[in-house]
Amino acid sequence: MRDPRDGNRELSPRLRAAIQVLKESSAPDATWRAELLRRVDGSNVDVIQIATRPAPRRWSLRPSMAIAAGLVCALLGAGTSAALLLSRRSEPRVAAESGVLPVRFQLVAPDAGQVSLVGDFNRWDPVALPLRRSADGRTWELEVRLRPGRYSYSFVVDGRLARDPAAPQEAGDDYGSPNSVLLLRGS
Amino acid sequence: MAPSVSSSSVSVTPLRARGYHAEQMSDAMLARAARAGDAEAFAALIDRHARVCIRYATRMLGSHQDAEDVAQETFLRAHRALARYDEAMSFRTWLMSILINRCRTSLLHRRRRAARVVLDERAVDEASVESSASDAALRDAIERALSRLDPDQREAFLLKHVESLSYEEMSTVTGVGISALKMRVRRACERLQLLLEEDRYA
Repeated sequence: MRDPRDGNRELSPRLRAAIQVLKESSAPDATWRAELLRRVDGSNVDVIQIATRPAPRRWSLRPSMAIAAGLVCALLGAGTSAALLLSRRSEPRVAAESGVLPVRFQLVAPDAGQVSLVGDFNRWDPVALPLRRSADGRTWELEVRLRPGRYSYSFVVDGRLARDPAAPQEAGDDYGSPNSVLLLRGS
Repeated sequence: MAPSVSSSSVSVTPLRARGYHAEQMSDAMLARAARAGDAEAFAALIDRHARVCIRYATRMLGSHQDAEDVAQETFLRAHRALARYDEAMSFRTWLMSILINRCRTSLLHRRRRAARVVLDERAVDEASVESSASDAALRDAIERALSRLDPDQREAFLLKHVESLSYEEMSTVTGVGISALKMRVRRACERLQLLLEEDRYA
């Protein structure tokens, strides 16, 4: 009869000890996980895009980008209170594209340290979709691709939810949290 | 010109909304939900298997950074291929077969670089509470010894003795016959024992 452990007992004590060392593992760090989830979200979208359009282009360079631009000039004090000076830069437009629609989110928050986007499209995960500070140092930007539909969303500015003042609609049914609503229609 | 989009959009009721908790679900249930488009279910699969994937790739590639990249690639490929996942195979086995292929490809691409097996630094930190000088020496020694193994032997050894797969599972995930795998494991063990002894008296 063969040892069910396939001969582990034949190993020298030193190699057995070394195997225990090799079995040590650690949980992946949060940035690895967030990056992976972000890429998984993207790959989901790609699958649908390939199904509807055979030759996808690089969306980040497309001029006909749909823009759902919210401008929040956030003067953030001590991380607790935020005075918001709001102005609308542009009407949200939907690109005349099939399938997934590129949408640009913008937020002016010169004093913010971190801005991210949460919504129905990313399970309100505050780390999955960070906005990037643009060259002017004041505006935070992120382009995402969304399927047509109605989405509640919000920005997270230094850990606090911040409604998008330029959003097409406000959420009426979200228990008073500062959400905005984006309605994307398919072309 | 544009094809209709609405037909391609998928409506998914996330598991949580249906009263499920990912921890209570089997891999097969999570994979089914993930295939239907439930991102949370796929995230749960990642949380369940990431440690092992990163461990294996770290030992195989000798670089924690490369291992993290390969593990991400593995999960991305798994996600894209979910529709082809056959539940006759365990999700772990299926994932390992993708991981092993990614590691092989990564090794081929970096052949010019000397393969160096490093241990997961954070794991070493966590374990250092009970570690002693001899443990540290053993870590260094097994690291050097593994890096000197032929990749086929290293792969077979890690799957057998670190990931504790059966030879049947190993054959499934590597595409190599059982007797050849046994030979590789035996040779790997003999070589490692020799190298570890040499190291001790060096």
